[in-house]
Amino acid sequence: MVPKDLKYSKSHEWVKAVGNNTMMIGITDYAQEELGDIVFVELPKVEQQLKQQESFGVAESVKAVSDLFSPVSGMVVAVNEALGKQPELVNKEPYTNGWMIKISLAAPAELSGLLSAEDYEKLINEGSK
Amino acid sequence: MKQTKLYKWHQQHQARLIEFGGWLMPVQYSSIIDEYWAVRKKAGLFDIGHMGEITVIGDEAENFLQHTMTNDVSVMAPGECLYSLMCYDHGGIVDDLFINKISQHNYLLVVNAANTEKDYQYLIEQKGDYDVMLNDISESTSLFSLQGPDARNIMVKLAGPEIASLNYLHFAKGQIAGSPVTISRTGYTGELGYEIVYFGQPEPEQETEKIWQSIIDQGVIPCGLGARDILRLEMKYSLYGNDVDQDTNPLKAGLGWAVKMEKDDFIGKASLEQVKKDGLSRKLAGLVMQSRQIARHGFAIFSQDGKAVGKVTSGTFSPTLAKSIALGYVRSAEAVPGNILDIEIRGKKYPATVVKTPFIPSHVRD
Repeated sequence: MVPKDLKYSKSHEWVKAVGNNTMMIGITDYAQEELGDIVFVELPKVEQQLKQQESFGVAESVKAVSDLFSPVSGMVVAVNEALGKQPELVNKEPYTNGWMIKISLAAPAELSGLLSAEDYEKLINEGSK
Repeated sequence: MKQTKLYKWHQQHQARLIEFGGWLMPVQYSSIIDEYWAVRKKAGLFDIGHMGEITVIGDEAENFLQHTMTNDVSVMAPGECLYSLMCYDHGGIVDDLFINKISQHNYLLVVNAANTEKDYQYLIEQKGDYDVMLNDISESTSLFSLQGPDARNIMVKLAGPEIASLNYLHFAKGQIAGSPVTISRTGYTGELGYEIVYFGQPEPEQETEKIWQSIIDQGVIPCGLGARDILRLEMKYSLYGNDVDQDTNPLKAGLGWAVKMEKDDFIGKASLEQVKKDGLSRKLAGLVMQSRQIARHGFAIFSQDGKAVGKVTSGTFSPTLAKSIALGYVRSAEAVPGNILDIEIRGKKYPATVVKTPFIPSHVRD
């Protein structure tokens, strides 16, 4: 499942515009499927500055730990507190209630370097071959 | 890599397969946590065909097992199962295993997959003049495990009403889907459960799949090694290679109950007596964390004053407790219930409390 209206990173995060300059970020359905049951998500503090590709936390499943990378640079303006008690939301609703952080964009031009849904789909199809 | 006789079935049912002990095994079908809950609340079925089976047959079978096993085989009646360790002279563990006594001169050992060849060779080396025949029959044998509170009702439907009276650590012959099987009240989950052995005669693949499918058809979901690991860890059941190995002795691992020092002699007895005399410097402790990060094998454990006191051997997230749990060898003085230690995870220390184990109540005798 790769929604058409989102942008994607090669490290399997999605980006969605939710305000003028604000982006919502989470991990893709493919990523949650690969990780399996997520039992813990560590997220940054609000107001933390992130550079593009910088790790902003980890998602941990029974099987493995995976770093989360910010697809864009900017300041964290919100984190999904619900994941503290219900990390499984990332598995169940990766594109909606399983969102992770909201970022106020520092360099809007970075968006054009992200993958389209089509390109991301190609990436994961190649990866699973 | 080796495959069980259900390999095709697993593939057809979207199992995710991983290497385990030289075998390609399902780690999960749907979700590790869903499969976990199926076993704790209803019933789940595991293919454990990777485990090894070794027969010990002969006039001196009992004496031979008394010599090679730490537990007391002489108290077993036919139809009983006994957990035991097999040790080296130096007291380290060769393997942990189940002994099934079929008759006075006929025993079946169920051993860990990765250790099967090692165990078999070790037993051959110890055979000497004992009048016994050893046979590794793992190749032809299939083994499943049906675990969970509904397991008894399901087994009664499949194998007949007499199975209802089978007590914990006992086994009986039976029939499932028209095939002869041996059914034992054993498991690795802490639930009421049964392990089903099919000796592969006739038609190993076809019959194995037929038996398996007949259990699945009772509405049982297939479960993988992922769920199995959480289930066993909540019970503090040791996993060879993680919690115990050739360098750990049974006493340190909290398995002293399966070592009968009053037996005349057995391999490792002198070393273990010495360990007992000297006292244990470290013990395997159960730890519960306040947080949900998983403390994984090898993570360092510290005392409150910052001293390194041990290492994690197994860790997971306990769905029942909604907290992370771990096992680790820590200095005996620290292995006291209520004591708070720190586990280092990705460079940060998180508190973990030493607790009595099992982590949650056992239902094996229900």
